[in-house]
Amino acid sequence: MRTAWSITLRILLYVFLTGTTVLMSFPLFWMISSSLKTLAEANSPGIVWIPNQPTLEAYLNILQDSDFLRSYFNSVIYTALALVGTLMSVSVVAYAFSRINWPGREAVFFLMLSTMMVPPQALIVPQYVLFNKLGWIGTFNPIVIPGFFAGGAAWIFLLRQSMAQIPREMDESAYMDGANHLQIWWEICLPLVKAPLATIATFLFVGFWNSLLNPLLYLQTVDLYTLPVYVATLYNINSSVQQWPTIMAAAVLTTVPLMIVFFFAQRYILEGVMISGLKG
Amino acid sequence: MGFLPIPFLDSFQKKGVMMDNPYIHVIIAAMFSVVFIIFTSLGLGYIASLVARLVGATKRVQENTFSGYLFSGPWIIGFLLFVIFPMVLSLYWSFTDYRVTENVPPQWVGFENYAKLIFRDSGFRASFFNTMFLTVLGLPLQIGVALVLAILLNQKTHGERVFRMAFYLPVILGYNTAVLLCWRLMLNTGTGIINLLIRGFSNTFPPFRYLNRAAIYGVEVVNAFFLGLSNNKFNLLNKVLEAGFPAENRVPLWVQSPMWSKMSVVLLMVWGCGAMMLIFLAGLNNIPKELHEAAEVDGASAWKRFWKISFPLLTPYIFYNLVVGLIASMQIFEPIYVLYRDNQPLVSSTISMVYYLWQASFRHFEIGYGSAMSWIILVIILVVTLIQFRLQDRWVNYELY
Amino acid sequence: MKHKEQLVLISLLVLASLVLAACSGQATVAPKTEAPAAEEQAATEAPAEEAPMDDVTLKVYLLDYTPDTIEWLNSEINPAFEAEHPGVTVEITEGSWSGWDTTFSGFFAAGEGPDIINLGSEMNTLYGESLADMDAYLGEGAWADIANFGPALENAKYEGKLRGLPIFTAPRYVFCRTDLMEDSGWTTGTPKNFAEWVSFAEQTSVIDPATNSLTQQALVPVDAGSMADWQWWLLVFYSLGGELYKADGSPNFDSAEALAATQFLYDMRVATYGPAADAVGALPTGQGSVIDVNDETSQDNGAVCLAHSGWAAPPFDRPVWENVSIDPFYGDTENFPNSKPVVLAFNDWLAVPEYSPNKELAAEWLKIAFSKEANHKWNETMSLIPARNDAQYGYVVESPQLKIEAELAAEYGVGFAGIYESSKLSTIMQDALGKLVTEELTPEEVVEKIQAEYAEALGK
Repeated sequence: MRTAWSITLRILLYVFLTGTTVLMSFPLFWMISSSLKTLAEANSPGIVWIPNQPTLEAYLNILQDSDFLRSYFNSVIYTALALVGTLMSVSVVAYAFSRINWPGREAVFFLMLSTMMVPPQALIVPQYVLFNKLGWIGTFNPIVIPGFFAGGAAWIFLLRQSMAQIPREMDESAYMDGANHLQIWWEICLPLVKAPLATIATFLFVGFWNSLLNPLLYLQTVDLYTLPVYVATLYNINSSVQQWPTIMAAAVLTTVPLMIVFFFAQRYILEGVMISGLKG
Repeated sequence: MGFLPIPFLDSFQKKGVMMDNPYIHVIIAAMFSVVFIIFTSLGLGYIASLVARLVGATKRVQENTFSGYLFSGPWIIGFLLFVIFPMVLSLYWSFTDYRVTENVPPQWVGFENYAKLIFRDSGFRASFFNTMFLTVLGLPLQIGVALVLAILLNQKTHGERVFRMAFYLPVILGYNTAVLLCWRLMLNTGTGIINLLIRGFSNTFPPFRYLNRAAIYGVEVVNAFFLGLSNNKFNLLNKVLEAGFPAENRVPLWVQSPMWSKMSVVLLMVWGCGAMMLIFLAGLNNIPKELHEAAEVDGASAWKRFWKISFPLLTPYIFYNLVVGLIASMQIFEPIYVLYRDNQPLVSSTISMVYYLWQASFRHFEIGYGSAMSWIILVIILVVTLIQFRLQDRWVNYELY
Repeated sequence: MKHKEQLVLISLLVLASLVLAACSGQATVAPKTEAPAAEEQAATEAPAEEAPMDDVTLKVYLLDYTPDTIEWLNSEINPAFEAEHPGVTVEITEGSWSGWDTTFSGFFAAGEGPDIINLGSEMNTLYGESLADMDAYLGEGAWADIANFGPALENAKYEGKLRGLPIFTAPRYVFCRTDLMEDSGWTTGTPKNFAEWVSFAEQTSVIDPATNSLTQQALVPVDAGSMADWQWWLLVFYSLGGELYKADGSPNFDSAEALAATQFLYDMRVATYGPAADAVGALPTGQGSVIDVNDETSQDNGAVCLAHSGWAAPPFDRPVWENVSIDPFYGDTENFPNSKPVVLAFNDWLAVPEYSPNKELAAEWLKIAFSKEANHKWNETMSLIPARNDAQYGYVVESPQLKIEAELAAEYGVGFAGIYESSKLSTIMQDALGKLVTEELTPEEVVEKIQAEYAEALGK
């Protein structure tokens, strides 16, 4: 009796979880389905689950849109540059906080942790003026360069914790052999913190790829738009017809890199959630 | 730019000068930045080691001082340039009437900007109450769903990994403009799939119709109350209550009515509850198994064990999620921009503090006013975070690493 | 040790150069105040500029034009200009209306940016102080052609001085489906006063009880859902003979016209959607123009009348035009003797910012791009009415719809310009009018709120 009850419960559990999975991934399904529809089907007042004759027309449309292709290229360049810069500088700084014993370290570390409380948006106005004085408005610089200055206290914190766990003896002996800090950082430390680096890279990638507010502020021309900024303009507020299939095809193409990263970096995500939550 | 024969980059090819090419420009700027960082960090290191030598530190300490400041240099320089400098500047502006389009120098106005924001600005008041709404209604819903999913996944389910990731995926996609546009398509009142489904279910299962009407009633009453709070006038609430239980043919008006515009955001929040769920899962894993086993031996039911053992041990995580969620809701920008930017009458009913900041600074060009707003937001976040830090010893985030 | 000292020296140099860079950054902003002097100098030295110069780039910033337009500018106008001005290159940059405000505030804050920027009607007051006085280059004394520009030219002025040139006129008409009117038993044509409009809305709007949504909407103004967009409010207000400002420059939202316009918007909304608590769904959108007929289903898209720009109406070659009338909005003569029929004319224009060092060249480019033929051609790529009266030939008079539109615009056109703090007024009004349609505020409270907030924004 008891087993029958628990089996029923189990089945209910799986039904519920599967149902929730379907609900959670529904927008994704709808995005793909809509991208394969004709304009009439997409705007139809009835439900068209799967288009009768799936058409790739929308994809052909969007792939012929040179602005879209350029914004894709822009997004790739921007994400790659910002990612590399942030990752490198963060790991250098984390090294200083974990492997070198210098006077003032604790104070600076506390200062760095306290910047986690400053919401980035509170600084947008004066930063805008700063970048303006540097002549950086209308270039990729304002969205790329700040990362080079170890942007993101949470990531430094995460990496510091990992580096602190490396046994002291390893770099002490290297130090005795005449290696300098640069060599120890690159040859000993980095290879041992590959996993947290991958976690950070995953979250940075998602953040840069999705970022809207900063690119919207600083990239002033269609030539420089990144994907989120450009895709927002595809919804034409001055038009009585929205080209939903084309917009959704653009959406699918925009999310493909996210899905790929998500698929390959799953195991790094769990660790990152804690720390990205900390960042607030 | 001849080396990249890509048609969509045509517009850059005719520009002769290399620096005009935006990609080369940013790469050169990046290289200059790296050089700049290296030299300023070196300078910082030398100055620090010089100080160390002057106070008579040993050679070893001097070396460590040099290396320490050299390696932490990128952050220190960045902190001065991109955090301290802007903060000082914005603190100064917040006491002036600085405006970009006017050719007159900023005038000192004292606390006028702050007084206006706190006491007179109805838009800021609305943004505050919208945040309150998300905290009172949206967050509990989000946390509740996350908690339920975490508990269900914690039942030694097969394929936990798959489910866990499926629930987490929306967080990754979350605020991407493209995905938000898809939501916009789905939330359309007349032809959107969500309302079509609600209508379809209502027609097939009468109980669902009743549930739907009850939900609509609840949502509209609560929203009318919050709109009343931001207006200091409860006309709408009275009218909704007067109208009574919604008619049979009613559907949610997601992106059409101020009474629903915040609910679309709540829906997005619940959809993106995966991050909170993962935190709860970690919390559940931290609960010692022995506690449950002992209770089971004593004959406690699963329900009782949850409330007596799991729940109390999860409260720090719930509190943590609450604080993080509260800060996040003050910063919502993308959904409002994508869902409502062409539907201006709805903006004030859903506006977040950061969106309002963006509007003042970059639509009305009121830099002084926007700066004052940044400082108010900063203080609010500071207070919320301080509460979190004070209660931090009850929650174990340092032990995770 | 020597090596060390070299490094210290270099890092100090870098620090010094950083300080210098910050100072020179400030220097670029400073000349803003000296600009008028520089401009006069440019005007007097104009002949000197005829000499070939080295590598001047004239930057033109346009928002959301069709690829055809850009192609035409690049293949005809710019080469013609560059041939006349050796050494000058014209560079067209395209932006989007969805981010213009952020972009422009950047240009003006930086004191540098394109030499010619694309503005909308109401932006003359928004940016007026930061735009160059172009009378010396484009005024009547300098360019005879200026006399050929229609009323749209007023939108390109600030404090009486020309700041640029208008491209087209895009007035807002009342388009009505006469066949649908008859089907609904409405026989008196496009309503002529407020009372008629409200009974028209009650009679011809259809709500499907099964879905609690509109299937036919009597009048679709700007923003079909709320029926309370601020631009629509202004159109109604102007039609009553309302003036936005009192003699002392303070806002006039406490006038009888303002209250009547607000009441009218509310009455129309209720006559169409019913009380806010009924929460009726809007017309389905996205099928094309709301007054058009769907080809595949032969169903009407749902609107009987449309009060909007020409671009929201069906394309001119659609069969539905047989049954579409074009009228101005008539106002309410019964209650407001000063009422007059109105078409609210919007237009895009190109302005020269004060920061531009190439004002003379910018004026020369404008003269070429706004010649009679060029203004005609530019608008032909978009099927809009050229701002120049003498450019209104060919497709303008050949298309019966454009011909009527152009005549109405000439007769009843009211500019959408001269609004102070237009961006703030838009926010203030959208907020208040949004609360009007949800019945959070009464019409009296709405005008009171707008009056108070706008007065504060103007500092009056």
